[in-house]
Amino acid sequence: MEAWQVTTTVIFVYCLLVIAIGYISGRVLKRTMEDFYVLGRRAGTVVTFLATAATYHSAFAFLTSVAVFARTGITFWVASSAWTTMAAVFMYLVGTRLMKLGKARGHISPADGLADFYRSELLRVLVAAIMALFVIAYIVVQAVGLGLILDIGSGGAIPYAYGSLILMLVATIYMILGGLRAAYWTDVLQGVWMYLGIVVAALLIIGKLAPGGLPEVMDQLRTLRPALLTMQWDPQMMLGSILIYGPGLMLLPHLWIKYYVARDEKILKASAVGTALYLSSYYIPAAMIGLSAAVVNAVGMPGVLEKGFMDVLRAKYGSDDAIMATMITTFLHPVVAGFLLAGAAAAAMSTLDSFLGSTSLLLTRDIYQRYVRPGRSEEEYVLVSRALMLVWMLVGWYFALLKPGLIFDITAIAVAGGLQLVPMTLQMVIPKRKVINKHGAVAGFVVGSILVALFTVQTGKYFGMPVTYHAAVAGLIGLSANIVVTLLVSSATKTPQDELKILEDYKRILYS
Amino acid sequence: MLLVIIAWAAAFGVYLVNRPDASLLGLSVAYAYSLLWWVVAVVLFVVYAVIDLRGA
Repeated sequence: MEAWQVTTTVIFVYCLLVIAIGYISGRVLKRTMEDFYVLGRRAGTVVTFLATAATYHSAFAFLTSVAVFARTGITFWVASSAWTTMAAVFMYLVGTRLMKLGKARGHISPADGLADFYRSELLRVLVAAIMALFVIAYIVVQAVGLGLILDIGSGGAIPYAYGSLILMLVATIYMILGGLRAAYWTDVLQGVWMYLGIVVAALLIIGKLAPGGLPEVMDQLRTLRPALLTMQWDPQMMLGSILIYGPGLMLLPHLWIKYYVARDEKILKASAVGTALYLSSYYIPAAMIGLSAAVVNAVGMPGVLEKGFMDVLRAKYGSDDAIMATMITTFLHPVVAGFLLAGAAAAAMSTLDSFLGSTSLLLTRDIYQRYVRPGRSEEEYVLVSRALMLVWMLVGWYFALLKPGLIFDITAIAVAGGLQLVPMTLQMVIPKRKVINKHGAVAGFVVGSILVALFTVQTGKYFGMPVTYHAAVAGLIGLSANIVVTLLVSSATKTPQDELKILEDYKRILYS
Repeated sequence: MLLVIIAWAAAFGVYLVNRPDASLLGLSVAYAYSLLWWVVAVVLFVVYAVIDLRGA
């Protein structure tokens, strides 16, 4: 067998494994929405922790983090160490409150909770529809990542477009077979696999390129590219990225519903601590690989990788995301490369499956079940959910074919949208005093979301807007306007009696 | 909440020491500061959680 065949075979063995898990989890599935989506709210610490951590880290963590380390140096560590720990703290403080409220009032989706608290069906539809649109960006980047993995892993024998479709279908099949239950079960395997993958990859690649370890890489960079050893983003970009990848990401539907999975508050809090350690430490080996790639890019390795190889990859694949997979297939044994690229696929699939599940949940529960065909059987809703997973998968794949750019930039659009949920969610989990009413919540959320779309490079260019240089900054602008509009409209309008009454119920749930 | 804001504001201290010069373990000053900040933040979070969970 040729090297690419060995590598590809290992990746396909991994695919068969996750489909088998999906099939088995589907056999024990009860045909109810609660079981299909939130495991009947019975998950223990290991499942809750690994499902959250594996869902948080995606193709973003395995592929684009290495690419951004290679291009901007330690900048990515400075920001990512702050946003990953912030995400876990947010889960600990806010997630546990959302879990309590969800359990007490039967929430399954973010729109469920917000519509219930603000007594607003308009808010339900807006949150469901706008979030479903924003998360397309996140589905697209998993599709991009999966296409690169199979294209590079197979040495080009399976081109990007087909590779992306094949691996996305794998994730969709196990989701259709087992619902989000399958995602939770596979997340446990994927969470362990992707972590081991990045650590093993770093040790082996550093061992080959710089036996002296990270200090040796630092010394080489200090001579070749000293700017890579300093923080290169300005404070706005740093603040924006901490907020969008911290609270913004933790409020997107695929992670929000993880709070409803945990059996009790203690389990969710323990999971948050594990999540902090897992998410942030993941970027230490990623930094080692990315910084090594920067050294090779600066000096070249005759006969192996040419000087400036990153520019060649960018020209070929449309972004720097191919660096990690190229380092793996270039420097490591085909079996090891297969194992590690399967880890990369695990990172992408573990997020993709949750996005497909949570998006279909939003559209089925918050729109189809309420407005299209209310009062139908649970079986019909589960069937519609499955069909929507397939549709959203194909939408994501279509956009991935356009090679939209660096994964890091595309994900930022989705999480900048998630950040717009912060003001109204904080009022929901801190109901001591009514500061935000439904009019303010709707107005602020709409204004914030529109501003994110207008000021983001990838979408704003269609409107002729003076776009910001990154969606992280657009998210910051959107949030600032969102807060101002939310507070102004809330103070200028009368809060309905039913909203004040429900506030008392929320106080009782959270404070008694 | 105030503690969280203060702790994360400290992460921005990297702009005060944003130099490539070698320091701890050969890391640049900026990288070493950020790693130290991360260790302190994680330890504080874990300690807080342990106290909170024992109390719960």
